[in-house]
Amino acid sequence: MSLSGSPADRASVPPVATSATSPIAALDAAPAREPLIEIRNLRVQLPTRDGLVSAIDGIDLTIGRGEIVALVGESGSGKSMTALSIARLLPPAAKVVSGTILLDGVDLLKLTDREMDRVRGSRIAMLFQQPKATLDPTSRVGEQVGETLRFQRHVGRRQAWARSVELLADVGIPEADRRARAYAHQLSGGMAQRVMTAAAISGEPELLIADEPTTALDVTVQAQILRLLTTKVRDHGLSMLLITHDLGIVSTIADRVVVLYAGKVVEDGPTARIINEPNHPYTEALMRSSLLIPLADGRLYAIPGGTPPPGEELVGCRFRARCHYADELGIADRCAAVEPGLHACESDAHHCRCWAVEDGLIQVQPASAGSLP
Amino acid sequence: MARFIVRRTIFLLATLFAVSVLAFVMPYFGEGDPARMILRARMGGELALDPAVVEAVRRQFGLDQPIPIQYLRWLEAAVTGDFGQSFTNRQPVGGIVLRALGVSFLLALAALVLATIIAVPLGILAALRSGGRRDSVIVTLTQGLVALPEYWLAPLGMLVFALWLGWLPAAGWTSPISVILPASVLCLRPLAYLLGVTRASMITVLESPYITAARSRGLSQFLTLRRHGLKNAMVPVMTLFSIWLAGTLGGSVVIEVIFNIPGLGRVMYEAVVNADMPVVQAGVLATVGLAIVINTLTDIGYAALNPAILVGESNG
Repeated sequence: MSLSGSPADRASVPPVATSATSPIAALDAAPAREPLIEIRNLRVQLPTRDGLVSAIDGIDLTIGRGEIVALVGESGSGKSMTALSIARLLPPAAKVVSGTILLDGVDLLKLTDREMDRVRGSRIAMLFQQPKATLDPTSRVGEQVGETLRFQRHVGRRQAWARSVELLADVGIPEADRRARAYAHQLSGGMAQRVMTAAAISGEPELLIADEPTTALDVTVQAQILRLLTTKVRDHGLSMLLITHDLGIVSTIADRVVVLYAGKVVEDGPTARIINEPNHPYTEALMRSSLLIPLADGRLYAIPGGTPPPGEELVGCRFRARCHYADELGIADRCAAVEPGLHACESDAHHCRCWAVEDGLIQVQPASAGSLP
Repeated sequence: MARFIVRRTIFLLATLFAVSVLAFVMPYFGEGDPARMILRARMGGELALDPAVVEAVRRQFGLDQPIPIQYLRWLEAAVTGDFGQSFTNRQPVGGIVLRALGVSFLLALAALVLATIIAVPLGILAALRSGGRRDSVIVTLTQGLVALPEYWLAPLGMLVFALWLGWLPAAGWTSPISVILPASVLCLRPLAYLLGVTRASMITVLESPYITAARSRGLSQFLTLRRHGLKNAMVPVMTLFSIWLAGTLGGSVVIEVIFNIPGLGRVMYEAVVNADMPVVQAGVLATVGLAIVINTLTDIGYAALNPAILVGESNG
């Protein structure tokens, strides 16, 4: 598969990976689906008062066709930056210093701005955290939903409006023809996220990036929006990159989970494995803290300490300062000196970045045993 | 929206009424006896006035009546457009003020439109790459403009464009091109402010989530700016535009005097010097009245730009 091919090349070349005659494809086919997005060694830097700081520090991430991948981690771990990098919508100050982001084998980072404009909306769509703030307050919502059609597919204004109304009805908005004429301030948060969903699927994209799409919504509405999203994603065969810190959401809808810590992937694997048998001490801690089950003394568990401050020189394992295993197992010196690599766990589909796990020092036991319901 | 406009209009009329009281009463706080002021204005100097003549003038102008009665008579005539006669040249005041107001409004509007046409695109350009070299050049240049005084720029403009190049008339208000030089001088300071506000407002808007969302729908930067950036960024620019327009109306005295333009600033200046009360009264009412009208139109404009503004209105 050509890495530098233009979109035109891609259209004319049949998808190699699905070809049964390719011996390489046959080898690869076993665990994963045909990859839609392949991020390799992505590094993004942000300028701060103390100089350039790595917000993303060499991330590898693959999203298969039709696959729902959850990206989890604390604030500042690089989740949103990763999402914005894929859509090439990083703030102007942020710089991609290395890496490739392949969409169907074409490096998005090498496209011209105009080529990238055609990728957004039609191939990659996005949902954001604050649905009401992501709608222009001065423009009718139907007008905004129809934009991808009007400006990417060159559909006429009236037709685009009619299609917007259909799409709004399709995402469960009652009286869609009336609501299409509403402005953002006249909608609830849940309604606004439905509108954004209608806009996102209007261009029939292949990838939906949802950056904490339900975080700002009421708990009761969260479930509705998630159901809507999964239905749409499955019905249209979309791939989804779901950014969240809600592990409940992850366990119900994601196929695979990628855990970020301080700009690096520390663990990734199939959802069931990650949820039930987290390997990395950070994933385990994250799991424990999000279960909201009281400890023996009645308090809730919280991961001690905080993420390393941006700009700090990072040597060794980034989680070491907050990891109790490092001291208990007497390997703290090694953890502090050398950064562990991402190594395969029991199965090829599961990876972890931890010395203790790699050397088999931690007895991986279902974290669920004592704590999960 | 209709209800909003009706409410604004009622508010406008109430304010106008209050202004009319102030405009009428104000001259009475200054000099002493209005009848003597009239005679002095007509005779053009301090003479020994015959008490009988003063008394006759007082009765002729109704100045022997209590002030509230005088006000009501003035108001009654004023609503029909009759603001009395000028003390100095006995011309109808309504005509004098209206003509002068027309000239000043044209000058102010020309200056402000010119300023906006230049400031808004430059402000957007600066905002698109804020912090870049283009941005700093634009900002530094315009900050310099604010510091230049009009009484220095105006003669310089005359020297260059009228005397040396001979492209434009040096002064006067005779043909449409007479407006170019004074409007150009007058536009510089509002230009600097409008540019600053456009830039700041656009920087804020460009960082808004709805701009990123619009880009994520596949809109190019230009389309995003046109469809979602401009309208949102223009609200504070409109405010500043209307403030400057209202302020320039009565405040371009220096320019009107230097360029010999028969505008309201100059007429008012002369009326005050000559204690020509009816002209001062009508002039104040006209300037303030027009400023209030501009403000009301701006408020309605906001609501047209951003319907969310109406939300507080219907509840309040």
